[in-house]
Amino acid sequence: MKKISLIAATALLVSSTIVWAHGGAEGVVKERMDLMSDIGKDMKKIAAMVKGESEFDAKTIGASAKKIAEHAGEITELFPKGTTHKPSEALPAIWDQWERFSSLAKDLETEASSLSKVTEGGDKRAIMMQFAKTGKVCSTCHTDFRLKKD
Amino acid sequence: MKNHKYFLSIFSVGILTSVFAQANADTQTSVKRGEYIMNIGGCASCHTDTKNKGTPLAGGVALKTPFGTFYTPNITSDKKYGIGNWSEKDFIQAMTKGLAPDGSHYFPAFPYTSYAKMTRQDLRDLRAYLETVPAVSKPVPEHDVPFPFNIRESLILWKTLFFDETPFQPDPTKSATWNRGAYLVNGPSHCVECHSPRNFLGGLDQDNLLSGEPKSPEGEAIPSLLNSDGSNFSKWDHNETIFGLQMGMTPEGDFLGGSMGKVIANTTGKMTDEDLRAIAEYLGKTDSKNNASNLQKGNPKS
Repeated sequence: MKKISLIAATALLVSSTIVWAHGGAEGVVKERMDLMSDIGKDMKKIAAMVKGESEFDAKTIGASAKKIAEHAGEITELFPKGTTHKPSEALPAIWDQWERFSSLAKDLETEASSLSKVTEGGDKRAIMMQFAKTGKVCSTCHTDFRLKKD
Repeated sequence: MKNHKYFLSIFSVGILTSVFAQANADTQTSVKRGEYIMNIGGCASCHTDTKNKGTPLAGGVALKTPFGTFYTPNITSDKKYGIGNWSEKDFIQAMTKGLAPDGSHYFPAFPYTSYAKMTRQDLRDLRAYLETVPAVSKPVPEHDVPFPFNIRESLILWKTLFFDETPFQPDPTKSATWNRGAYLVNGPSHCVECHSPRNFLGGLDQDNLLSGEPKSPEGEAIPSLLNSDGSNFSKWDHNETIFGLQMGMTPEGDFLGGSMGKVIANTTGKMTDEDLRAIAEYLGKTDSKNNASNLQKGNPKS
């Protein structure tokens, strides 16, 4: 009996540790948090070039922007109704104003695609401005639909 | 004799016209400065109901606090529902003393505790701009504040305890840039109002200004802006701070939202580079990890 309960306890501990990634997120909440983190990493990469902290390479920016646009297209399906449980930072407003939320997701896809296109011309200033435009969509959605809890 | 009189009247008209033109030009400059002050003062964030496509500065935005819900007033130039009937004295009194033209006290959800630090010139310019804001003839809802918090007279005691009316005093040992940052953070841009903890009576904890507020009325965790406490923001360098305030992007590539999203959109995102540098310097951000001299030495600061 003792041995079984020891194994059971270990199994429970191990499985709960795995689930504790991303503050205990699982399922669709974890998926969308991971997606947002990915977008953040790409935005960070582009920002470093735009700020002059890393060597400016239009091709790399274009590739990152393309990835962001792809992710943007996946956003709405990761927000099924009733998924505001911990540790989600999603606000109920998302479903109250679903049209606005999904149109912002579409805006992100549009602006990130534009950013990818603009890199083909190599014009630093135009790239910077389109990057700012893209970031503005992030902020707009986060202002009304996300409640940061840490 | 006739010629003399004729010449005199032309001359007088000339003088009057140029005096009038100069006054007009002065007003225009004042209005332009006032528009910038309106932006750095963050008036639109509270007084414009963007969620419901409200007209600029017509008020009606609900501010939920532990003391009830306050509805921001209409500050357009409307003479009945706005502040179109106010004198300059009324305006300055409201902003620096938290008193309405009829002498009643304003609830400190209106951050006059910070606006009190604004210079007279800034306030005059701001008023000049507000006079040009198109009138919106619409009233706003009454505050939804339960007894006993709705008793305005109790604010006499609140102000005695928590309202320091000392005007802004620059620190002579610090640079002009630092002092400009101190003015902005503690005055018109009133960062202290959200980023500082409050006691149970809603007064700012003056000993711990800018150390953050773990649970704001909206349920947000408002971060510390200090360099001394190992907080997230203490790790931001000078460039990251300026970039962050301009674009709302954190060093991790996240984009600020919630209440700060409005601040970026309406206030810091509209500041001049100098004002952003001033805020960064005041907040103790002096260096950047990747500035040119560091990269040349091959010695990036971490």
